[in-house]
Amino acid sequence: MSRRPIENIDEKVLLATIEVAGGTMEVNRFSTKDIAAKAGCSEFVVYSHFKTKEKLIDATNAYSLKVFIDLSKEAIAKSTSLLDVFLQMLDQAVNYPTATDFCANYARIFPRAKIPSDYESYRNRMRVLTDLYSLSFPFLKEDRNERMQYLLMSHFLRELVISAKTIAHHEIVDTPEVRLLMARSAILGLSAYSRIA
Amino acid sequence: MDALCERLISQTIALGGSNEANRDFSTKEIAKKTGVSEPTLFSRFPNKSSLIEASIARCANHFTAFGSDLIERGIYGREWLGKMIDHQIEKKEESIFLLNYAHSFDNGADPDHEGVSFRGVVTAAGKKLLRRYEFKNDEEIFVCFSGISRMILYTVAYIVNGVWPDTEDVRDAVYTLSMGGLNSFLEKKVVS
Repeated sequence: MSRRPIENIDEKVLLATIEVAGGTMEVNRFSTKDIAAKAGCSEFVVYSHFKTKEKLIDATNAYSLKVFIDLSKEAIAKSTSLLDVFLQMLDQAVNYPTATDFCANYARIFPRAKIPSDYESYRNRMRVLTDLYSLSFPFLKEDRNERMQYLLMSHFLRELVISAKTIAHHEIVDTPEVRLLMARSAILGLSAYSRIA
Repeated sequence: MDALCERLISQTIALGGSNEANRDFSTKEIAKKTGVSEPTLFSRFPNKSSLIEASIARCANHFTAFGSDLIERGIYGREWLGKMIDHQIEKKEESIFLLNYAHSFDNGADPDHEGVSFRGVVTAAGKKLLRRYEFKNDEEIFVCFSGISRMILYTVAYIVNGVWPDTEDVRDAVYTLSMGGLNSFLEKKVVS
């Protein structure tokens, strides 16, 4: 007699991967055994669904980006500026620290020594996000090429993730002023600070 | 710190800065590449964390010293950023090592388990290098300078791994992003 399949097993494994890999501070040092235990299945099931550790990370990255897109839609609908969106998304990221750490450790928006195997498909998925943001906050006409939009959107995401991580790990005192400072730094760059005449 | 410590640090950076974080990066391999045994490595550094910390300190010192030297020579703005990017491309393993292992630059180890205050390192460097700006407190310096440092290191990583071409267009965009943030590229500006 075959075992009854576990409902939504893919999603359970992906969520468990965020928890386990995001909860392990050292990059690339997580165990699929722990992920299986967290998801309530065997390690065999994890590998039969995702084949390799690398593919599991790729799939979790894709899943995280999808969640981020959904949250962005809500934030954009409630905001009047990109600064407001950053602040709202920062709240979300601080409230879900394992997802934030997972992104800091594995998201393709962070450049690494080598280009990851799924980089092109990740870049394609990023277009969906760029299109969403640029509908409400369009970039200048001359900067509407794919490379520039990817550069700008990935900057937004990286600063968001690192800001949330800095807050979540108490490396800076979490106050509304500090959150605003981080948002202004990402959106306004050095122009957010006073220049000595 | 003796010559062997320096060699061990050099090999740590070479190994840790040429791959993804924690891939093929064991003390056994570092000792082998240095031409010593693992116990000899541990006679100089009590554990792997202390070796990584010393290596981060070297990379961060080189980064800050070069940036500071440029400022002493009156080099600011676009030229400063360009020369920093050139310097870090030249020291690409140090750049990737910082991205892999230094918290505050990117995704390094848990700051709670580190002996070094990276916030302190970044803030001190920011005080040296951002002399043309007025900051209300150390939080502002930390947030601002860690952002600039990341921008330089990410640009270097993208150029080194081949995602971005090393062109004037890319460098212009990075400079504009550093100076005016995303706002510089928006049709409808955020009021600052």
